[in-house]
Amino acid sequence: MAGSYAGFAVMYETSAGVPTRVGAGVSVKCRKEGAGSDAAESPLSTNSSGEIASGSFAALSAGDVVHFRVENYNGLAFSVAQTLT
Amino acid sequence: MPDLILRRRLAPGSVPHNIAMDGVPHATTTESVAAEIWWRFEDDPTMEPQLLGVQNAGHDLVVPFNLEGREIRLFIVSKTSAGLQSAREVREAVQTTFAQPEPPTLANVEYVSDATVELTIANNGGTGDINIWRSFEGEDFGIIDSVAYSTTLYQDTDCGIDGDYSYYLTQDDVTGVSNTLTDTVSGEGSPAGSPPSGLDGTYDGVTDCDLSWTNNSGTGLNYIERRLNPTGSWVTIGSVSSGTNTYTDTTVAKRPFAQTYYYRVRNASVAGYSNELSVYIEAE
Repeated sequence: MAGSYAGFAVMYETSAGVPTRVGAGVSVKCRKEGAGSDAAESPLSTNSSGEIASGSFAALSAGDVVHFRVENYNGLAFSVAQTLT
Repeated sequence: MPDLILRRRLAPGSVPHNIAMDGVPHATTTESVAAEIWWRFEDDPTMEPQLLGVQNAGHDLVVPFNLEGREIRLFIVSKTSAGLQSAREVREAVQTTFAQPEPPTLANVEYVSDATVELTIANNGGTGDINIWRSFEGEDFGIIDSVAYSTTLYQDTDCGIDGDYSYYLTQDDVTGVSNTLTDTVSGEGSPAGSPPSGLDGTYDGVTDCDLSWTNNSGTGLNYIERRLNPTGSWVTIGSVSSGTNTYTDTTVAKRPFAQTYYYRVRNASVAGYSNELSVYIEAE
């Protein structure tokens, strides 16, 4: 048991279209694909570099697909998926 | 691992709906306002969704790739002047097979000016490069250029000699050929001019034939042609400016048997060819 995920940056595009990292403390929720609720470790928070550091989900396994989503950051939202290793 | 790039969040409200994809690679939305359409491959959930484009209701958006046999998942984001609508994954629009694109259509060929014939090209769904084939005065067709699939006009500037220029098109990753069209150019050639002459050359024993000739009254490009048997088709292997009188063919390939390479040179603005040069290539 336990599946690991790679770290990633959380960014938004300025009005000029320049990708810019968010600040610290942005909430990133995590849910295994098809699950009815978020993972126990959810939500994660970005660090001062606007990144979600690599980590693991205790109750999930390698091969599980997890969606990481931001629901509302100053009116912005989106999600990415990652296959756990 | 792709980064998470945030987009504008959409307020709850009427959802965009019904991207319809049928047997051809295009998408139509019946959403009543402008919609952004994003996509990713269904079998690659880690792929960051890509923006396909923005379109208004009922308009077609051409999917810029041949997805035959592969599912895509579409994300529709619609907007109104009053604010933003909900985003929604439209799995229903996932399509597994698309019709193979047809080869492009050669809509028109026409002499325009200055040794130039202009081709009008209509793409029929393919996304590979379009290859332009030409035959002059009934000789074998050969590729003269390759252009991006979005090209609609192509100018062949090597039409300085009077005669019939025939063209057809093929496309990378698309089966088939286009129709063939012919344009007769007259009044362009310079009958009083003389083609290059005195073609001579030496083989270095490895991969190079060094050619030289005398330029005469030609003012266009000098084209170097080669064939590998005494009665076969000539193939243009290179071109140099009208003031250049040398060329090195670096593509000589030895074989287990002796060969003869045949060369000739012509100038784009003058009818006729240089003398034909035979070069003996010994067996490897």
